[in-house]
Amino acid sequence: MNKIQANILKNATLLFAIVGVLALLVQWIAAPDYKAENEAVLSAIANDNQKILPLQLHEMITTNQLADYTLVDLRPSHVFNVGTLSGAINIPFADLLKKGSLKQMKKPGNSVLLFSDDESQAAAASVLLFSKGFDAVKTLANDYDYIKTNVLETFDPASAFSKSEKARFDYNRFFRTGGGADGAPARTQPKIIQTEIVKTQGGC
Amino acid sequence: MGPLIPQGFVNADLNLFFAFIIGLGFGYVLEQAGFSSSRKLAGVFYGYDFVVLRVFFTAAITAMTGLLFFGYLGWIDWDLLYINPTFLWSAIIGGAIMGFGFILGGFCPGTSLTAAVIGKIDAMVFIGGMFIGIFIFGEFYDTFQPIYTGAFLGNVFIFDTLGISRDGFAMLLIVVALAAFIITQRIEDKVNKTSDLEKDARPSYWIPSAVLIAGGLLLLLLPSQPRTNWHEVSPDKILTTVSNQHHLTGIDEVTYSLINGKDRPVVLVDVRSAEDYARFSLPGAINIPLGQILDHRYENLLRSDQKVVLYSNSNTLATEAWIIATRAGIENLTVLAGGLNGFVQTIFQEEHITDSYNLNVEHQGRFREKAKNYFLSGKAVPEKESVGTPVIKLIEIEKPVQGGC
Repeated sequence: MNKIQANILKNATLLFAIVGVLALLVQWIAAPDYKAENEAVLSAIANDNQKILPLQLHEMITTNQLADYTLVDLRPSHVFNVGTLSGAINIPFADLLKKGSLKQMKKPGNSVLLFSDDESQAAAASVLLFSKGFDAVKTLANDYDYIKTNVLETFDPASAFSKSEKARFDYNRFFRTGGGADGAPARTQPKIIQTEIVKTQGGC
Repeated sequence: MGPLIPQGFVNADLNLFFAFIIGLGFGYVLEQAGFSSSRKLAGVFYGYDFVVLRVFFTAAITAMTGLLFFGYLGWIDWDLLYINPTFLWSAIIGGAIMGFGFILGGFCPGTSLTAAVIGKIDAMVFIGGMFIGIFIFGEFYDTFQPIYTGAFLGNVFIFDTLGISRDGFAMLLIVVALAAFIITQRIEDKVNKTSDLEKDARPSYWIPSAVLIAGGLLLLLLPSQPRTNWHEVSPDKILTTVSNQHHLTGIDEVTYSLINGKDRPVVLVDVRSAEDYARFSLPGAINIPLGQILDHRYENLLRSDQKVVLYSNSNTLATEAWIIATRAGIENLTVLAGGLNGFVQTIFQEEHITDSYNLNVEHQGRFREKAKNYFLSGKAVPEKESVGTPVIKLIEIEKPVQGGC
């Protein structure tokens, strides 16, 4: 009797182990090729220093710090050929994750500095590079044309802290209800409904 | 139930059903291990039968290896696991009472139930005593309270105290457990004076042991960065979508649904900080700051059947949030093209062409002009809170002060 039970146990454990290893292998192969976990990427992009504002860029140019960066121009090659930041290499956004491109950007000791004709595209590229295992990726705030006119040609101090994420309007002006004394509109707050209270309890 | 309920495959209301099934299995195992016999249970204190120790150690290392492995494979969400917090005094005193009662009564609370079910009268008396104890504790709770909740340490882990990794501790525990099996067997044989013939007739357990050790080693050797997130969306797909701008929702579409909310509902999600949201948000928008986009609380909301539009002041923050959430497998999200800046620019700042030979341009211009007046007159902002109020449903997990047996 004991022998039979031991045999069942033996076979069951072996089966379990085989299924486990198979699942591991299948998932390993099926999983998309990321090098960093999503949460780690999220905390990397939440870092404030990740976006380089015009003032900072201006300082970097005047003190010649740009050499420490691999400058990457994400615009299509026909605009890249017309003009770009000095020392920049061209990797069109659509080719960002090609093997050759990743190799080009991965220089030991260097941070990657991305810019594009659209700030959100550069930001998207930085998220993807973080998730591909790059640990130092920065992006230039604003698009290339803005940088060219306000930083490269003549530095305009008014643009020192400009970035696309800045609110350009007082939005409340456009959605006012007219009823409020202070002009602030009555707004809907999401209603939080406590639907369920689950009591957890351990024990055997 | 593991990943099935949080991912929405199984209705959360079935929780009790699974608890029932698992309870049946647990009771069966306890009874089959001989735990309904107090003689067997007390044996561990006298040295003639160590089956209690062996069963619990086996359960611990098997469950531990399985949990770590399932967690690694992404089948179990560690964040949802409830870990009993440590109250030092109640743990010491409760443990002492438990051990004392174990020797005297021959049962622990769980096994007394299995024994009562198969009709053992002493187990029923034991359960009765348990209820009296609970009653006394409840009546004098105020007296016991300082001890009960004293020396709160929070969720402390042995491996943190020892300064080793979680997987290293798991390996250590497996080795200790297997060693304990061998040693307790020796003690048992000595106390019971087992003959060599009986020893030879014993089945060998080297395969299960080897599998456990191999599992522990595998967990130690696998890279700590899981490469097994099969449910995530591939980076190439994300890149293609963003570079073709298929992740964007046009300003006109959002405007239309702000005006005709009932016909074409979209869920607007503000990914800016809470302060920015408090200052201004689009009517009916919900605030999920970028840093919380992976929070479980918002998952059902983001996985809505309706179209979900993320927005920030421009495209940048919303696109970042879009990539993170899309990678996590939430696929119906879009980004408001141009963000709030683009929205205000297009609807309120630009001159609208309301008279053109091109009908498309004319219609668009008229629509935007109409929308502008509509918004300026304040009609998009619901006056009563009940109109179109977004709702966040919360399932609160209330932590018990103490659990355990």
